[in-house]
Amino acid sequence: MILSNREIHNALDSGRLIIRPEPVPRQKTSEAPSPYDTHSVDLRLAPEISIPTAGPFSWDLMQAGKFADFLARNSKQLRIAEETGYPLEPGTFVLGKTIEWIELPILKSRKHCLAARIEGKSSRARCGLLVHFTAPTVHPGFKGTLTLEIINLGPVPFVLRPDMPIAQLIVEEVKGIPYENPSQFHGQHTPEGRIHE
Amino acid sequence: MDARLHCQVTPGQFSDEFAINGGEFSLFAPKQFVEVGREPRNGNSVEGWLLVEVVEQDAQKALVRLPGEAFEVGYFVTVPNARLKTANKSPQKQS
Repeated sequence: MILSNREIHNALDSGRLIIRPEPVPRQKTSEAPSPYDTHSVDLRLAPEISIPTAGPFSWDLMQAGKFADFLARNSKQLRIAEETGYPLEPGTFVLGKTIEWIELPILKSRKHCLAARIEGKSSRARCGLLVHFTAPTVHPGFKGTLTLEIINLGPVPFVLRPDMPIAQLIVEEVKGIPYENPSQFHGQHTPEGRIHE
Repeated sequence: MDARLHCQVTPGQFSDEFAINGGEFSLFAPKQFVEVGREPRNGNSVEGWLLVEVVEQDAQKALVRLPGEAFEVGYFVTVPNARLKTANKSPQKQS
């Protein structure tokens, strides 16, 4: 079940959902709009983006243990200037992240926990901007900022600016408390998890 | 129960994260979850300790939950106890 804005506030107050810094104001004032819609909360773009670089290689997830470092070494970090922004060219892919730190604690004292999904905003989508295209789910137990897979499918550059509302978080209740997947442990014969034939 | 898992650490894709090489797996983790003696520089790794949650443990090995999804194995991995040490502090949260 998707949480309404009122239930998102309750979840923040009870510690079932943590967003830091907490989006404010909770309700629209004469001075400021509220980042909360009826059943979502807006998240903002952090000033740093990561741009994958092209090269004579392929992404290969089978480089056991080395892939994260390989990906990082073949990416360029860039801080977006507030004045100019970063014009994302058509067809270009960059990684961004949210300013907000999200936590979805699994509280064993409760019968339910929360999961979330990150979605784009329709106003940005109309310009051709995608902020995720395959990985919207924020799992129960997650702690961290949310990484955004940003691509411009529009015909002209889209200017990314730090602090801009870039995505919305939709929070859902997970019925029951999930297992910590102990089945991955049982039946393994080596510490690395390989099962001998 | 939280513990620290021995790993190799290099810079991440963002300045607030590290790339973690856990031998059989790799992931990006927020710096708050990683203990390092000194900051790794491009091209050189440093030894570090990644904060993990021990889900199940026997005399030789432990199933741990990683603080992020590893590219190769997902969120859970089985490691030898010898690569773990007691966690002495919780990660700092962003303010």
